[in-house]
Parts: sequence; C-alpha cells; structure tokens
Amino acid sequence: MHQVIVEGLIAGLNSVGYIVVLLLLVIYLFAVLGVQTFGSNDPANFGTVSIAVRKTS
Amino acid sequence: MLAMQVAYRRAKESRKKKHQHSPFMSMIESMASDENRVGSMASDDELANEIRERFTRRPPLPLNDPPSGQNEHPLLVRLQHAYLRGAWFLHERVTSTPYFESFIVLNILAVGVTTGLSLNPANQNQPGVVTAVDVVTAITFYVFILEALLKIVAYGPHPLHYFTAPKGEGWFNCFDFLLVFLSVALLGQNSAGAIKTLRLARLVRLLTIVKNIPELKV
Repeated sequence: MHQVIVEGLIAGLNSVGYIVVLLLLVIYLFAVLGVQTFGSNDPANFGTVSIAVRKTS
Repeated sequence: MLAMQVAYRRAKESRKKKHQHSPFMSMIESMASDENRVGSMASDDELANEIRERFTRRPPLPLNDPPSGQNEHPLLVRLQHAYLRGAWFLHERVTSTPYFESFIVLNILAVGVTTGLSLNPANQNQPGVVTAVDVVTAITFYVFILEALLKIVAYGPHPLHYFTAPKGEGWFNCFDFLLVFLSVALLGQNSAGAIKTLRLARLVRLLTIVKNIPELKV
C-alpha cells in the first residue's frame, strides 16, 4: 500500500519539475517586464531583475 | 540546459511518427488515389502502396509527365519539382530534426538571458556586456526570420498550412510570425514606442519556448 503511494509520488516528480520550470519562466518574465516598466521610477523594488524577482515572488 | 535536452528528446520522439502528420501526406494520398494513374496500372492497391512506400523515402514528385489536358510549360514544371524537392529536404532533414529545435530553444534562452542582462544598470556601463548583448540580438534577429521562412517552405505543397497546423501548433506559428514581423517592421526606427514594442516582443519570445517543450503545455 505504502509502496504504491511512494511509487506514484516518484512518477509524478517528473511533471513537478516541468511545472517548476514553467513557474520560474513566468516569474522571470514578469520581473523583466516590471524592470522595463517601473525600473527608473522605483529602483527599490524594480531596480534590477534580481531585486524584482525577490520582491514579486 | 534542461530545456534543450527536453526539446531534443521530444523532437526525436516526434520524428519517429513524422510521416503521420507530414505536410506531404495529403499530396501522396491524392496521388495514390488519382484516377488517371491508378486506372492505367495493373493493380490499384499495389500502385497505391508503391506510391506511399516510395514517397516516404524520397520527395513526392509526379511519377510521369503531367496528365494530358494540362499543358504546363516544362520550365515551370521543373521549377515546381525543384521547389518540392527542396521543401521535402527541408522538412525531413532540417526543420523536424532535434538539432533544429534545440538550436531554436538555445536562441530563445539567449534572448531571455540578454534581455535580463541589458536591464541591469551596472551592466550598461560595461562595454563587453553591451557588445555581447548587441551581437546576440543581431544573430537571433536573423535566426528567427530564417526559422519562420524555413518552416513555411517546409510545408511544401501548402505553405499556408504553417498558420493552420493542427494541435495548437498553428497558433504558436502565427505568434512567432507576428513577433518576426514586428521585429522586422520596427527595425530602423528609434522612437520610444518602437523600442518599447521591440523589447516587449523580445521578452514575449520567451513564452514561445512552451511550443518546443510540449511538457510545459499545461
């Protein structure tokens, strides 16, 4: 019984990885968008991409 | 580099069943069921099989001269054959190979990385980073134009099927083409609006990576 659950979890790990990649892609995209739009006005929150990623997510 | 490995594997798998959705399949099927050709041969099924067998390995060109009644100029016919042969080569050996898709994914990733790099104020004073960003931008500009053109030509007898390809691929292709069109149309302009639109197009390019890695399609 437990073995079935664990096997299912392991089988699902693959798609979890893809979802993480997709999530990172979307976060990065909106961080870059934020830096492009608000970067010069709000350097505290959108100064660089790394700041924006930390603040938005 | 995970994204590239995945793209490589997917393209390899899709290549196994490429003939099921080959853009030349409709042409092959229509030739196999052509009354003019089938009627003059010994066995209909035999000929149909032969045509299918032959054209999954070589370009689907008409077997004999064009059927009587169609008086086409020989040069025109030869040009058509050359186009079909080239399109077949493109489809079989270039656009549906894993290398092509991996190369496109690499370019999309490079665009994403350089967009992020060019935004950092600390990098905008360093000539090395600025030059690298400019070089990558110029190269990817031509790569994406070439990708769209090659894919359109690879549809051979029906170039416009590029925009109406099944399973959502057509929509992604339309999107790609729109981005290429924008980047070409706004190339020489220096107005603030044009530069902003170009930047946005370059950014949105990152989303098209979902096309090359179908696992990302949720």
